[in-house]
Amino acid sequence: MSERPVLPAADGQTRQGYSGRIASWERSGPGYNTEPPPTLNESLTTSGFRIEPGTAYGFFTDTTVCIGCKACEAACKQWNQLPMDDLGFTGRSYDHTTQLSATTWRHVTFLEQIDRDDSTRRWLFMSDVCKHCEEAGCLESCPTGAIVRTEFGSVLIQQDICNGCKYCVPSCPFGVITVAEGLDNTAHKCTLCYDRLKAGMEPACAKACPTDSILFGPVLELRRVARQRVEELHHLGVREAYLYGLPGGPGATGGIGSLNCFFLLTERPEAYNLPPAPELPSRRGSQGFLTTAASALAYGAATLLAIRAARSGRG
Amino acid sequence: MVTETVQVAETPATSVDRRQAARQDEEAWQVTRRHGPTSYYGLPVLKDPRWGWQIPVYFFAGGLASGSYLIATMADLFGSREDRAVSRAGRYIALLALVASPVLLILDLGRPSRFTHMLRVLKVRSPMNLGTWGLLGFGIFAGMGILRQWVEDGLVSRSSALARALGWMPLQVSGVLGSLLAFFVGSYTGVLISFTNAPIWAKNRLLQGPLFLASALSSGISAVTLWLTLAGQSNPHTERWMKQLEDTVVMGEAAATVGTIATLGPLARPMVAGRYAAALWLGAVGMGNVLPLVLRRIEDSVHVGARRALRIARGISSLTGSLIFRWVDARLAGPAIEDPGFYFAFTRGRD
Repeated sequence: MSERPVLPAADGQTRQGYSGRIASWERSGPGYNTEPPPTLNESLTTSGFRIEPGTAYGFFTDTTVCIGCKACEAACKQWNQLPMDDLGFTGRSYDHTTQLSATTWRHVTFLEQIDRDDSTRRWLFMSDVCKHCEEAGCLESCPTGAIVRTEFGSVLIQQDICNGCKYCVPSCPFGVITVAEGLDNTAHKCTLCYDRLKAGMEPACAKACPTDSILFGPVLELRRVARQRVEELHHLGVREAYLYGLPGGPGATGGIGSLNCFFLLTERPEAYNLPPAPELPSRRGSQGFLTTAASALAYGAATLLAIRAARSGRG
Repeated sequence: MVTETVQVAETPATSVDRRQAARQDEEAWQVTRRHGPTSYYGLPVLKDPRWGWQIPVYFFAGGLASGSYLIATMADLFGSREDRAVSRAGRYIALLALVASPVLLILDLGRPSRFTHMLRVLKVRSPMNLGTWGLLGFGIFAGMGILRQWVEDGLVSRSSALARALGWMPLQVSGVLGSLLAFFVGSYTGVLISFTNAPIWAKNRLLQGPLFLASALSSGISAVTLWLTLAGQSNPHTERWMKQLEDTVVMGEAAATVGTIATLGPLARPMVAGRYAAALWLGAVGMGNVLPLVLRRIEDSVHVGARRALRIARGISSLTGSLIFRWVDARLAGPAIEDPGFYFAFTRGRD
């Protein structure tokens, strides 16, 4: 893995997390911690990047380094207190989550592959997540304005506003979002750990990943790292490595712009159930309004003619 | 806390079991090799919105309200004295359908108590948001129409405050504005579903709106005719232009349907073969368009008594067909959404 840029710590502190000072029972006021979050950016230590609002952050998921341990799935579930999925054996390699949903915001795909002469077997892993598109289909379609762009460039569903209309579900070109039916009946998806970002901590999955397959950082920086990695892989002979989600590349077509959470893949996107050329639904849908208006004019004219013909025919 | 016992496969005891397990493993490998590059185990990529029955029924009710209101307003603005009954019938039907519409929509929400959140914002790029505002506006104009009708019928006195407030907006203005909103409400649902990634709807983005508008007008005409027949208020003058209009609308519906199948190409497979094909061709097209036309031909050659029964049957058949069409169109997206092959073919066909 090429060297990750390490920025010097700004204030010299090495402790992570909250300062731990709890209001004692002797003091008046609430019995829980009311200290403001520390100014230390924990993310600086764990990911190498300081988190500041106003920059677009995302993930670079390098599938060539993923070991399929599912620490990302577990960390995501634990941090966001998501309910358990059905633990049946699916018979699909080690994948017992099978897809992203309202209760699964990180999903590791397991791809077992045999070569034509049965000689080499490849076992590919990819940790799928919400792509936090630059132009998001879910964001555009949401009629209540519950889905918004945060100050960190991520796409967030405000849970107190969503009324579960389910329109965002088919609008996502990647099939990420669903509504938690039977639970709270609103739409859920990866929040890029918005609460952690506001506290200066990198998302749970990126922190938990033992091989740094999931890298968190500013999107522009991550793209630089990713391009270096692809070049390195090509030198090593892994010529099928490519990036999915860069501007103009696969995964970022059709008006989506680019994906803040992009991937390095070594197989066609369809193999991972990623669309090779997704499109923002609204991009060409407006033509439908025009044809509808034209047909409305036609029917209006036809009605008028029919009524007039009947009047003049009678009189 | 719920704890679940996880089933663990038992180790095969005999050599026969082990051979069978090995064969099953090999089959699984083969399946993976077949599905590998083309999709991930054949699992769906897109997610089905899983809208309930309330949504296709709302498509029908909204279309019915739109079509009836348009017929009523056109008759009011441009028709003759005999068409007053048409105007009355259309306004009442539009009112009934518009009372039902928001109820249906609210019932389908995951959090019905938050339905007012739809009006938090005005988002031009979200058809559902535009539609909510359009439905609200249309409801206001339909309400004004009903108020005018009540004044005409004497249920509301002309000197009351309500009647005088109504006089501030001339009939022509409210008719035109209301008609614009009626056209929108009757067709925006088609555009709404084409603004998703479901291949059947998205690829048909040009014709989905016109198709729904034609269906809305058709159900409006059928409902008004049925109402007039049941109330004994139909007259030859009205019948003539409504039949002419019905012909035009049915032609438009047929053209939109043919255009849809032509546009979809291979994606139209669920429309012609599959569990919804029968419902589409027998129900939507058969009961909705073919049977009413056949009954209309017969109607001209039978005696007056049977004519009324035929007309009622025609109206019911047409309305049922229109409802079935909405239901089928909503359900047709299911196979397209669940099959990753469909979706990848659809996305690969683009630039």
